[in-house]
Amino acid sequence: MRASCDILGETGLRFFGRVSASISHELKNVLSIINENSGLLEDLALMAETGAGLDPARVQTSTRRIQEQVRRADAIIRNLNCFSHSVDRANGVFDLHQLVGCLVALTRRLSDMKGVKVVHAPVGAVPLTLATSPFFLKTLLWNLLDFSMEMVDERKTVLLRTLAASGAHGAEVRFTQLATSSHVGTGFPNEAQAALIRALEAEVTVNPAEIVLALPATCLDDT
Amino acid sequence: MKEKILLVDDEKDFLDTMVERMSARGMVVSTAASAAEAVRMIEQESFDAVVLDLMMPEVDGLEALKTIKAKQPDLQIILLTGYATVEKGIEAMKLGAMDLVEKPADLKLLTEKIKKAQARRMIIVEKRTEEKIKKIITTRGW
Repeated sequence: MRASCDILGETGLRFFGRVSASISHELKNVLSIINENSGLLEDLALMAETGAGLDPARVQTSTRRIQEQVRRADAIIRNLNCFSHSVDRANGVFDLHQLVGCLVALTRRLSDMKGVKVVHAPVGAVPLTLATSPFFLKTLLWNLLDFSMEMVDERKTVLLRTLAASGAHGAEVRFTQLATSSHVGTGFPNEAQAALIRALEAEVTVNPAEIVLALPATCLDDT
Repeated sequence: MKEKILLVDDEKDFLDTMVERMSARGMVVSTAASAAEAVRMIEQESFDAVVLDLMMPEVDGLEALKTIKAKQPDLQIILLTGYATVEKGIEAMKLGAMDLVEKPADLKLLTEKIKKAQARRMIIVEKRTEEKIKKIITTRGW
């Protein structure tokens, strides 16, 4: 049996690689649109030089597309920066709603590739401050999200709800709108998921139509 | 002769801009925002070449390539990719892709490849026609 730290290291690195690859593809798409629109502006300038009239609307459309792609790239890079900093320290203090929102944005292209829409719905007080390992939590959340996407119902949407919990649990993340058929939960947890659940002292329950990740009350930041 | 192209990509702004630029260069360009739409279109129309994004939601480019090649083996397909890894490139060529172009694409280079694709398709069509004529001549007792 492999040591937990090996499993966590390998799972974390694989997750980091998957997100980085997805983001680099998305940035290439952004660059392609900017490249083609700058090319189109060049085409229009060449046509104007030959005496053809210059249509201001075509120029405006191209510049608007470039500006939109610059904003899109800026948001992608901001999320990537937040993700990269989640490995700065073993433990950190963060807002759970914000962390899940960032993860959903970061993995948007991966869910799009599966044809699944992921919607994040924070419930209750903002912020919901936790003190634990942000990177292990993101890795586990992605694992559960990836698993949930395989079992969505006909709506093809995973609704992610983040909320405070009571008793022994400090906070919950609920993956809802899953199919109610008997195959839900088959093969769960795998080796990586089990190691992450142990490392975060969390609990995961697979119910009909939903998966619930409960984080311990000891995670709540009361400073 | 104008090249008739089907451009397949899930980025609408990319498609719209490419249509404008390629049309200005004398090509007749149709677009599809998904692999499924592209497959439907090649069943209804004939194209000289298909320019296909390798990474698309639901059905990826390699899967789409297999489906299109199964339906129209002579169709020339140029794959567009964010990252052209050697493995993907080899796999694409084995599946029958004519070429692979990395994004952001150089339109001059892409245009050259499209012209090459059209020429290849014409050769294939001419060969097929010649074979059909030969078959008619040899089977009919004139």
